[in-house]
Amino acid sequence: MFRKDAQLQNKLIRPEFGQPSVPTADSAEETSRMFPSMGTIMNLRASGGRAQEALDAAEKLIGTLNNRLSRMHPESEISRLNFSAAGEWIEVSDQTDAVLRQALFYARSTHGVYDPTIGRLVDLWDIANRQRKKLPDPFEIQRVLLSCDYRNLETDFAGNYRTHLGASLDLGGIAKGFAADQTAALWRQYDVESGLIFLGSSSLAAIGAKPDGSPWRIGIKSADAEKMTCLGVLMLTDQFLSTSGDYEQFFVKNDHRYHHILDKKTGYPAASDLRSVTVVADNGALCEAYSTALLIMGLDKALEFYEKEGGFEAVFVTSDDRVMYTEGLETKFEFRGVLLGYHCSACAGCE
Amino acid sequence: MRKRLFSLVLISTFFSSLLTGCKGSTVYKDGTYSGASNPDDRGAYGEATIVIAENKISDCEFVTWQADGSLKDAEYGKVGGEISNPDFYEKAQLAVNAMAKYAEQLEETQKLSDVDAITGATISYNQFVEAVESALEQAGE
Repeated sequence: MFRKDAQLQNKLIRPEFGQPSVPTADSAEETSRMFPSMGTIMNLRASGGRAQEALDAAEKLIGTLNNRLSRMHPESEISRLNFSAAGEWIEVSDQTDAVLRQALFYARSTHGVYDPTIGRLVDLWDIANRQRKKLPDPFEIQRVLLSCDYRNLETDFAGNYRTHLGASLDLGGIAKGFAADQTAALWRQYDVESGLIFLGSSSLAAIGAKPDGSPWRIGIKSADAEKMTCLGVLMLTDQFLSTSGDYEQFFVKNDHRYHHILDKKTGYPAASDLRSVTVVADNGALCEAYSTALLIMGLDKALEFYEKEGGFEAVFVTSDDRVMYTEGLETKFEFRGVLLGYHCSACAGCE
Repeated sequence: MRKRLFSLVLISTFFSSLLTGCKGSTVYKDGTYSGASNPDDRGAYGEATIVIAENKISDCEFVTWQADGSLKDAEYGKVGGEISNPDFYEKAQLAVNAMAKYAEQLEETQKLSDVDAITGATISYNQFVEAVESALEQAGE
């Protein structure tokens, strides 16, 4: 139902007008598909190998992941865990086990800044967002915060999990990245040579290079919610990317902007000096978990984390309109606009 | 060795040079063409109408239809014809205004972005790109 006519999608190069006609190197073999899942829209493009079969398999895989990982799906494994009796072990599938293990790993590595157990806090703010009439009760926030601790999620390392202190899982900060990892691995079985796995608006996997051999060009949207403009372009080949931004979902109350990235230290939307963080790495789950965590940390701590942990690169957009990117992106990031300054000496972490 | 970090100053006007560097070659026939996007998870879809004159886009209009067949316009965000939630209405209207800006931007720049995807882009922008591409398919010779 949501499949696109492949003929309409065989365009890798965007059209430009008023230019002489020159044959392009568009691949006639590219096939694409768009479908809703995980509460958003999935957009896949593939060419080479058995691309059409790869799309079929990917849609099925992402549907299965959604059914297992969504907390909005009452029959999902995550819902079973969330509604289990205190201390009751719940057996989960290998896929859910894999994502939970990674979630716990990134929770530990960020000292809980990324935390998959913030489900009750998310619920509280979600209700506030829908009603808009009043913010969550501060006492209620403090109450649910007791449950928001990844150490309240226990595993026996044999595929069984249980929660403590009423912890409620929300994998919204990792599930799409994990799905990108799984889909990329799946496509290797179908010999897909080139593709783009774009899950929602913020998690993405670039498979190989474009059919013409050039890197995939991924625009990073400006932090202005009203403008659809890019502050730069990342050129990626065989890499994953995830962006977290405070402009994606928010509401305004009493002239204060409340966004959707919650800091479990306070129970409120993160009061960060970062507007958005884009993480690039070889692992989609890492990208998604760390992009959220780094935004919550704020610039200084995010840079310390980058220095200490490594394994990823990042683009930061600060609340005072500076754009910074890490060393590994020096040849991959194309800043667009009027360049007023280019320096590193004033920044923490610079030589 | 400590890792280096590059810092760039961002000012609001730099976005004017974003949509550059497109490759492309197709010659477009004069006429009016419409294209639609796929629906989003709520069944809403975008529809772009472009007018081609002398191989240029002389006009572009982009609208979004909701699943119930109603248009996202000045009424979008109202409940029963009333603004029952001003914040929600304001946000809905920002989305409506953004759609018009996408169309204006295309008329101005004469090209879609040269990127393959925009991280952080709204679903409505992605629908705009899809709808315009669909319309251009018809206009291409």
